[in-house]
Amino acid sequence: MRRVAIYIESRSSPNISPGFSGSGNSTLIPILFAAEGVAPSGVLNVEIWAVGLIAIAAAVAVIARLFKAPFTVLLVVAGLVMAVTTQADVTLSKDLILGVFVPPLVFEATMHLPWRRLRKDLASILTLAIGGTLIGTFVVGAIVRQLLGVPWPAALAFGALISATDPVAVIALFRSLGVSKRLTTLVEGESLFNDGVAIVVFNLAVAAGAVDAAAFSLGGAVGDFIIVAFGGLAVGVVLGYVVSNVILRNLDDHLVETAVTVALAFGSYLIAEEFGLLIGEEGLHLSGILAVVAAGLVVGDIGLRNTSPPTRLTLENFWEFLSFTVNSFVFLLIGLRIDVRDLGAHLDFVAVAVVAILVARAVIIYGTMTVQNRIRATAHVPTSYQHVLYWGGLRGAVSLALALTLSSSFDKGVADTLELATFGVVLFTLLVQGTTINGLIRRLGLGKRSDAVVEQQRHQAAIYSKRAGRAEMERLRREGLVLPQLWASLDEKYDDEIRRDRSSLDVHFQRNPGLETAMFLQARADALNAERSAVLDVARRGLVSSEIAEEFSNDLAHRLAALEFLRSRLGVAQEIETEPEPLEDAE
Amino acid sequence: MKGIVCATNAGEDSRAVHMAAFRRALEEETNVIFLHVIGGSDFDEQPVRMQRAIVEELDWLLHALIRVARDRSQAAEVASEVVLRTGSPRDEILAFLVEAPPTALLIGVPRDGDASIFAGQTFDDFVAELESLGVRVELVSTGTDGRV
Repeated sequence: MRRVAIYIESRSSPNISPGFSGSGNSTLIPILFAAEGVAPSGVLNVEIWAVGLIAIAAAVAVIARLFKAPFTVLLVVAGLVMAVTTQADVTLSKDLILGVFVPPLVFEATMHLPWRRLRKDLASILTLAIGGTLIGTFVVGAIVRQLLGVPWPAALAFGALISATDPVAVIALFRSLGVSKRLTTLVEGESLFNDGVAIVVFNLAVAAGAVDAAAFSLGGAVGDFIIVAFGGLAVGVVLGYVVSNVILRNLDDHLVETAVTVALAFGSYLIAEEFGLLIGEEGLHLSGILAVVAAGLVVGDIGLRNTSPPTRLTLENFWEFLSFTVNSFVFLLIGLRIDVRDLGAHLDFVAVAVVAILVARAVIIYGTMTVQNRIRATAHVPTSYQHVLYWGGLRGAVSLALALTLSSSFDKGVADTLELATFGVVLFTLLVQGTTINGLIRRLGLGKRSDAVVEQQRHQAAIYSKRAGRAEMERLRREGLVLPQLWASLDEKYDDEIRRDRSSLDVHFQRNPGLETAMFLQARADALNAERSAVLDVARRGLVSSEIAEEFSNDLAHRLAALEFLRSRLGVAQEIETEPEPLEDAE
Repeated sequence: MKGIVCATNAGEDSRAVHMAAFRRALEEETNVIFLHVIGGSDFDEQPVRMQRAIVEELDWLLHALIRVARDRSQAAEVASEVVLRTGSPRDEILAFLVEAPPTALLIGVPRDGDASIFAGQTFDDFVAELESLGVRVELVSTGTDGRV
């Protein structure tokens, strides 16, 4: 058996034209390929590469589920293992990450971020995203400048790129622990906006490095920041509004509508980034990420209301799948791209960078939130939330993408040092913070509503298991393997215990009425989905026409959407949630 | 129409009101009518087909909750029915009481006391308006035991 590598190339390009070509000079993901023959090339390479990564991601997802481990962290570990065992040499370009991977992730996240909730904490989110990124840029920049001796522009560029948070791993954990929607919105909102802000500040730092100190104007930089950031947001709002109110409102075709949202997610990024070309000002680039953020928010708030329930279901399923796939690619590639041996040889750089981001994050979170809490008491952010915001500030794809461009703007030595530091920070936050935040959330009691769910499940498990035990005793009696008197005594005991467990469950439900409603809504949704499957099944078997099946399926999709409406109206979350406010800040 | 009318919003606090209604009906040997009005801008903005689906699913939910409340109140022999109406809760409750004057109306006290809940009207003003129709109004505290 010969070892055959799968060759996939990602060619770095200065333009927004990410992709793969068969003529690049880098080799990705050599995999033991049980075949003799010539290594495939071109489109086939891309296909094999994509299929390979999806298969690995699926396997990792199964392992993550089995061992209840954070999925994204395991993906990175899988990537690291693959990198070491296969000697893979991965080349990722900024454009590939920012232009291809990030837009769908950002669009999916913002589409599901309710504007109603975001608006309530918009001041805190913007304080963290704008103020926090600027503070982080300068604090990290100063520490790195002082301890690693890199020039100011490069230090500030590093400070900016490392300020972009990536909470995918944390958000998944929030959902499983039943953390409040408010904390989830704060973490997710900060991340979505600070990605765009970090890119803008990073570009300004790079631009500052390209001119001499005398030619640099702070006023000009602030003006550029405002144009790029708000210009990007404006592009996203306009495109999102047009898609929501012109296309999604007037069209009822789930396939076309889904395709339009895909075009919007990538198109808003491209139009903002290349806005200068559209208006004849070639040098003008607006923030593509902020355009995607705005477009996603508008579609989530207006567009989805203008779609029919079947379309909404298709959109939800499509974007959930795309987000899963892209996330898997990103985290596997992060693992593949990081050279652990190189990191091990330069642990001092990594240690400085990790200390710098931890110090900066403390200043950002505790500093800005203390000030904000004094100014706006009505939007008070509890201290326990601040601890989670602090430790949950993981770094990921955006930091990595920006680090990859350092070599085109700074000296090779400086760029290599900062790139390595970025990889070290990303790895540290994912492997250390990402695996310990679970304990922090539990310790702070922020997942306590899910304790009610755990208690409910405990009662249900007791009832279920005892009923199984009683059924087994009944079988033994029928087969004459247990004395009738013995069976009678055991059956009576089982009966008592099951009755007691049922009574405890009932008391538990009376204390937590939301659990009962959640149980009803879940059971009803399961039943409706079963009805839907049955209708599609009889259509497949030719017992009813596809038109009839579609009519029923659409009706059931409306019923499922109605349950979601009721869930939202009654304040019942997927896993029961009514804003568990921390006791310490109850004043 | 006689009987006890129980108006709730199907939320968490409705359990207490449902149970109190069954207990009162047992004491007075009468039936219970569970009145639920769904409306509001988020509902009104939905397409007609969606509104119909919401009302139908709400009917399923209410029947399930009421069945549980009846069992918990050990009021198996009390007859009950669910009336679902769409529109402004204030207007629809008043209209229903005029159309079919009940023995009594049970309603839960909102957690925030006299908060403005019915089209700008405070809870106390709303109760006064109900009483002006000659209806006996009983307020139920929204703890788990549903004391009247």
